[in-house]
Amino acid sequence: MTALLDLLPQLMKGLQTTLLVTAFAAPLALVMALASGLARLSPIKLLQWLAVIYVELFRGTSLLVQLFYFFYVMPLFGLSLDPVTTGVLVLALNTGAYGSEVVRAGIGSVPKSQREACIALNMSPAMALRRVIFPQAFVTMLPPFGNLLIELLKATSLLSLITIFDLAFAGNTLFQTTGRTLEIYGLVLMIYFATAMVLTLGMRWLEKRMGAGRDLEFRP
Amino acid sequence: MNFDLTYLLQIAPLLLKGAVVTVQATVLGTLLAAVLGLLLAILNRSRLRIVRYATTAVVLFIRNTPLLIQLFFLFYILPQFGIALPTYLTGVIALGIHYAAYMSEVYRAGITAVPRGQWEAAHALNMPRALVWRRIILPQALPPIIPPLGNYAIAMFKDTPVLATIGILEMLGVALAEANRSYRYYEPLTMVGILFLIFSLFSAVAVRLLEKRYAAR
Amino acid sequence: MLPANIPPSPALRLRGVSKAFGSLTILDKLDLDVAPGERISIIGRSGSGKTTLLRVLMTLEKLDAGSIEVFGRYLGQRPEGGRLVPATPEETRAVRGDIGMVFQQFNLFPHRTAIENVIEAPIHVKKMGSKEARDMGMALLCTVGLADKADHYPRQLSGGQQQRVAIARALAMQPRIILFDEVTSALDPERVDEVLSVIQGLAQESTITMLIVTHEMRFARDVATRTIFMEEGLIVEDDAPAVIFGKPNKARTQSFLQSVLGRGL
Repeated sequence: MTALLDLLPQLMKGLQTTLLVTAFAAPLALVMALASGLARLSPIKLLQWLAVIYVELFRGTSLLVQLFYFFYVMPLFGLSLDPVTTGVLVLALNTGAYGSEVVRAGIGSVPKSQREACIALNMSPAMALRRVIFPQAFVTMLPPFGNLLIELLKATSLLSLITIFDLAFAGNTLFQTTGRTLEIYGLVLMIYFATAMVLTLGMRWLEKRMGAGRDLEFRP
Repeated sequence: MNFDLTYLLQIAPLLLKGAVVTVQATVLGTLLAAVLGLLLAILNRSRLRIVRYATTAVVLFIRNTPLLIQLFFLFYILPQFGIALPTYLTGVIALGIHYAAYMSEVYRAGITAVPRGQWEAAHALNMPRALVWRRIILPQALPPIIPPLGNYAIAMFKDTPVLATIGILEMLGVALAEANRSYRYYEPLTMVGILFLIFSLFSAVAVRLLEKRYAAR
Repeated sequence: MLPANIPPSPALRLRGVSKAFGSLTILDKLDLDVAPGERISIIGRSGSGKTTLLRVLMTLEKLDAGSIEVFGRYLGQRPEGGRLVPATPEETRAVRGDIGMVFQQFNLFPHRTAIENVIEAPIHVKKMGSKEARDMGMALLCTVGLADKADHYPRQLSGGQQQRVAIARALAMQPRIILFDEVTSALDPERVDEVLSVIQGLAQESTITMLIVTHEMRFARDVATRTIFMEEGLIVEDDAPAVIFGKPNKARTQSFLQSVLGRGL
């Protein structure tokens, strides 16, 4: 047991970076998802195309390849960022592309009759989207967004491969210095799992809070 | 920055060899995941509560931990227990186990979608449970979930570069090895990206065909 | 003040209005004039084009041919060089503001309470102050008998209550024409009367122009100043309710009424 305990400080330091990267990448991914998801529904063809290219590019290639590309190749084009910024950027762009699908599906899930009610109230399409369609769609987007958040957390482990000292990196370092494989990787897995569970609970809480009026039982 | 086509052609055979490894790993990993996933889904309907809880916990744990660490875990720990597998096989097993957890959820949804009355009708015909699964439930549950299973196969394909970290020479592994030798990252990595894109577009079309085919039922 | 020698423009003026879905003709070169303050009940079998007529008036469907004028202004079109060309969305919205609609399936916003449903558009489309909108909204909910349900979400209301909120919501935009599209068809039988009596009350107390598509024949007769019988996208008969329901002139009207009424109202 004490043996396990002296591994913890190092791992906790790594976890800090993991959480930090997740905390920066998640909101950025949300912005990308909303921007590209809505752009694909826009009447402006150019916006549609840009969004499709972005989504296909980042969903069609592998995250790890994207990470190495931004880490090794982009500096050749003059885009030199520190590893953490690179990591946050790539994770956000990748997750945002997947989120784009969630946004599109969420908007599509709102019944057509809601749009018709907006027309009957003489709302402009933009206002209908903002005040009626999107608020309803967003509630249905939350569960898949929650899944993406977990995917994002797990994906941060790849940042250890571009020299970022995150939880995975801490585990690897400890393994190389102590050789205690089973405890270290077992512990690292447990910490990732616990973190994921906390995030899942947080998302559930958010879903409950945002669901006002939707899942209320019928009470005459 | 100039894209050196001659250099690219020079390394192209290597990259294509890597692509073959990638595809192979995906196919084997998918087969393993499909079998293990089904097993997990059936165990999750067991009459023993402990078995149901255990499978739920296993699926939850695998889905909520990174593939990379699972891979390291298997790679470093199996030998400690005297199981010395070829590196390649370890990689395939890691992919298979990771995606089995995802696929089991898909199977579960498919199985739940079979109406309760089907179980009851089979029961009324005095069929043994194994027979009910084989002849009644699975033939109805499987066709509609083939497209989502295909989507997970595509997701696995995009996760194969992780295998490079334990020294498997799939596409990314080859590209990095080449880059390390020549200090040229631009051409190999761009090529890997393009190959992924091509494979992804084709596989997306394939899944859409599957959807068309199985949606009609 | 308009000079006395210019006749007031009709509330609605339809000329050659046509709509087809694929090879199926739903509205067949329809002409119709509606004077301000008229209440027209529209009857006919399902598929006769009644609902589609309301939907093209609300710009929920695009016209294939023909024109619609609302109080003298073209809807969705604009004359240019002697022809009608599609109007901009802003122009369409300016004309559409005169029309309101109540739907068969209510179409309330599920994420808003009853009062929020009513004041949403007045505040955000008409830029009404929120205090003023709220007062008006409460008054309207009072009219439809739901003041005590103002803070309930649609899910917490019965179908009849939801439909009454939807009526209040349409009225809150102060339309000059209101379209009722089979507003009781989705209701349980015992909930039908509460909705019909709200519309009856509205008919008695206001001069708003109404187009009412309904399968409730007694209501169609009692509420309207004029009744239209439609079949296969055409107006077969257009007369006073007393004539249509008492002694229709066309055999097709007669046979329709016989089939839905049996022995009588």
